[in-house]
Amino acid sequence: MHKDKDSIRRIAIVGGGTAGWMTAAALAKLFEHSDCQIQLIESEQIGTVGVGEATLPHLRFFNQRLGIDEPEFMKAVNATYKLGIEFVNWGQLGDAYIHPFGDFGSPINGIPFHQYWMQAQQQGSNTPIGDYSLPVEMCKRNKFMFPAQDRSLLSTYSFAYHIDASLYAKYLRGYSEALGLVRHEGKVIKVNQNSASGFIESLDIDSGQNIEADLFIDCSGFRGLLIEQTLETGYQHWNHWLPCDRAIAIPCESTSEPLPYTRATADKAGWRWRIPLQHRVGNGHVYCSDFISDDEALDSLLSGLDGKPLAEPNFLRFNTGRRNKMWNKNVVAIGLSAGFLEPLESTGIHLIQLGIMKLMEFFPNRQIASAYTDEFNRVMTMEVERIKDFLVLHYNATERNDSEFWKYVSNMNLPDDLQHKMDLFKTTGRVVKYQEGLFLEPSWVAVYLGQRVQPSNIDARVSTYSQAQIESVLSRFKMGVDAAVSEMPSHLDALSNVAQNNNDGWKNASMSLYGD
Amino acid sequence: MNKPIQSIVVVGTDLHAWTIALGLIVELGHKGVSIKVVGRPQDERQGVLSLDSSAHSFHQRLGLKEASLISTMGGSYRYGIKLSNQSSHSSERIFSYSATGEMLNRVDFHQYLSRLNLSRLRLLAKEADLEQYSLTAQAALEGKFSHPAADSKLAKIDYNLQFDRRRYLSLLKNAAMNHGVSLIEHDVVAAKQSDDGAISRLDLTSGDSILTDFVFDCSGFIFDQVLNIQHESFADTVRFNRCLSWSASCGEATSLLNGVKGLQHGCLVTQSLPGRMAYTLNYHDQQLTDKQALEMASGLSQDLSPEQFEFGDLKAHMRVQHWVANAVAIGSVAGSSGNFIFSELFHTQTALARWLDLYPNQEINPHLSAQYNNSTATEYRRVLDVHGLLLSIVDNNIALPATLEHRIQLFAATGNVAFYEEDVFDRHQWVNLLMACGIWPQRCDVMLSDHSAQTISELLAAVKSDNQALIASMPSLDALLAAIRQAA
Repeated sequence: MHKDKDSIRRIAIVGGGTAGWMTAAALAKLFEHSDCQIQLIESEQIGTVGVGEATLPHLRFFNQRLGIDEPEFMKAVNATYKLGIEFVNWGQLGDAYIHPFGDFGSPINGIPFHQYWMQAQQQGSNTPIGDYSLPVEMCKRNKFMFPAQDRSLLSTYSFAYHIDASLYAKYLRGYSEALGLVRHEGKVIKVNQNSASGFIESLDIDSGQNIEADLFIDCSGFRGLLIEQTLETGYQHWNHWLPCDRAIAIPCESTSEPLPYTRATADKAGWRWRIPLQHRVGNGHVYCSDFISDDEALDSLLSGLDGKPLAEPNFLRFNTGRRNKMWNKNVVAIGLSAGFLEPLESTGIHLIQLGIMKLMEFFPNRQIASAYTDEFNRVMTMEVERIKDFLVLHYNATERNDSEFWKYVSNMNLPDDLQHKMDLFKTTGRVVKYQEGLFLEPSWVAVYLGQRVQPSNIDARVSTYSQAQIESVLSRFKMGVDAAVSEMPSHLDALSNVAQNNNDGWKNASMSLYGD
Repeated sequence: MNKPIQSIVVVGTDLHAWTIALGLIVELGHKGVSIKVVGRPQDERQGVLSLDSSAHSFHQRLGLKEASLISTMGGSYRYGIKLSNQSSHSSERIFSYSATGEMLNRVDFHQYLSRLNLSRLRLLAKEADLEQYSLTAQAALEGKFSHPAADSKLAKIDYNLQFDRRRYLSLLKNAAMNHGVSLIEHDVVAAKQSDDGAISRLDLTSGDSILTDFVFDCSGFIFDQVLNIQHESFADTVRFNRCLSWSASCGEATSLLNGVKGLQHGCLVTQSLPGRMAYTLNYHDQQLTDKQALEMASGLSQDLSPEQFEFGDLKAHMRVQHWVANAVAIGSVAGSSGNFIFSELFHTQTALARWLDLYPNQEINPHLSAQYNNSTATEYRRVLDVHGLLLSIVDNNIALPATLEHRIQLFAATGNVAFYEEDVFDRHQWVNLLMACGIWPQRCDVMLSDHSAQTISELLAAVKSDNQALIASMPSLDALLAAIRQAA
């Protein structure tokens, strides 16, 4: 029993889908032993976006916090393992590189590994930097093994999943309802606000019910039923930097062994995703309607499918950007209602998870002091802005000029922070480091070097090493990677172990997000 | 590719100058880079140097062994700081560097204490203070010390070192010169800049000149007289502009706690070394004259003669730019917010690491200096947050930086810590300091709202009991220091 009279006792979540049910599950677990009532309102007549099938390693923490058994989860959502993303045709047509969940080499005498690699390139080496990354080699050889918990080479990576997002939502619905969450079928037809404070007090739904709550979570998607249509919070548009505004999603039959990585292939006016699940492949095309028609975009998507389409194409429209405040009065926006960033780096589910975790960390009482909302908005804004910069980098760091779209993105003005980051790398090979934020040094290195950003200078301390010394260190590391990956089981074997309940390894896997 | 740096000049001969010189020669000497220290030797001010967390990696980088430092320089360890106020003995609390308790069921330890505190309305007074459950705070009160030990309950111990300031300087200077640093005992009187603004030549009082590719300015000559770089004042937050230092022999056990005590007109910092206690009285000359300060100090250490007291200026500020062209400002030239928790040497050690991380060529690259300046300015602001919080218990009228105000409001409202980029404290250290400064959350983690006070009391009692058992097994600090000295 709550003993605090100011405690929040009623929470209403508006919208199902991945965001709604992840929020529901987390809050249901949080309040498992309390009298706080959690309700979710969704309508089967309103479809969900249903993409966001590639995840980041952070999802493992979310599932662990809910006490979800990994093999059970993987079977329920037809998951495969994911070790990174392959980017095809981004720097130039014909290019390909993998952005892994892990490191490239390891620092030597306090100097980042990529500085030695760049020196070796200047001295004539042509070995790709991916050859010094365990997860990149695992991707290339279609291998999978759980990362070790020690400090060895086998601990230098992490993993995530490719999942069927609609099955994940369904799974979490069962989980939440088992913990006592009440689901209401219906559409919200009226939002009732306190005339003085503007706080939302209740929702009328078309079934005739009136749902009262102290705190409302807006998971209603792009429209932002509460955060925007009711509270008029405002939206910051990022179309200038991320001009893609439409997507088409379509699943198809799988025709080969599932790969342990997502593929993002740059196209004429955007890019196409390929996400291998156990039972099918998820595909999509994100594009800019200023440069390509819907029909042309669909043709491009269909021509690149592995197998027969399994459904009709789902056309989506979006405005890239973020809500001015993701928590306004007693409404917290989570998922697409908080903002939208294209799924180029699989950040959709991660941002949902982050919003939920921060809400739990700053869970308020009924007065909702500004200390909670200010900190939530500060942290979420910083995270989203940094992800935005990283996504913009993918478009701007290119030599492509084969279409009007690529000419535009390669010449557009950049956000100041990103401009500084790129200037620093271009002139010195240094990556701007920060403690908070999703993408750290290895991620930036992967994209810079994968997309042909060649620094004009490298760390002067490295230039004092002889060619033989550098070659020796690099060669030793590459041999270590080769040997380690050769011993690993295939990705398919790892998935078979899940199916055959022979998969206890995850319990001993390192929970590090990017390897130790 | 442009040319690598071949020659670096450090202008100034104080503690900061020799810190930089030693760091540079160890990192770059074997690459053929020459390091020169230029300036007439000056008397380093007396007192105890309290090093910070950055010193561990700094010493490691330089190959300086901790036990050797302790034994050769009569150094000591510290676990934290005792905060007190002349006006209220009940406000005496301990800030410790180490985490207090452990996270239980994904909830931070201090939230349990907040829960108990809220349920009992702080009726238990001291019993509810965080320090009661801090292994290192309680060990410090008993004069016991242990290093962190892997895979044990001692694993998360954080500690810092302190040494006699002059002996530490002497050690750095000797080490630097043994590694090949040249000392030129003349002051700089002029500097020649090339077309791109870089300092290319320094003219000395001897009439000689030296050429350089890069300059570290620990004297102020370059930044004040050549480059004319302005300051941003922190005087609204750190309102002292004078300090008076002295030290006295002490027959008591060496303390693992420094002290910061709020006085009616100032703040008294105490630091302990074996057989000796150092004092620094910080004050503003409009509230307390030097004469009054001396009278106050003489009252505290009656056996000392006036010449054993040393006055100094305290200027709370930072430069608006720390790296300009091919020159970097270091030490008090770069900035300071006093030596209350973080010393000026903290900034010098991190500056060295930051600069080496960005190690430039001869060509001026504005992106490198922009990155350095951004990180450095942020670090000064983060230290100002720490010192501002500490000083707020001494002086109610100081201006708190906006980031500190937000931290305080958030913690008071939710028990959570706002973490900022380049933060100099870990989260647990913020919790320790906020609670040591008397800031208590008005609510606890929602996960604990249905825990009974009885359950939490039992849990907390178990933590206390575990700590007592661990402390009983620790050696006394003085015994340990004696053993280290003997082993050497």
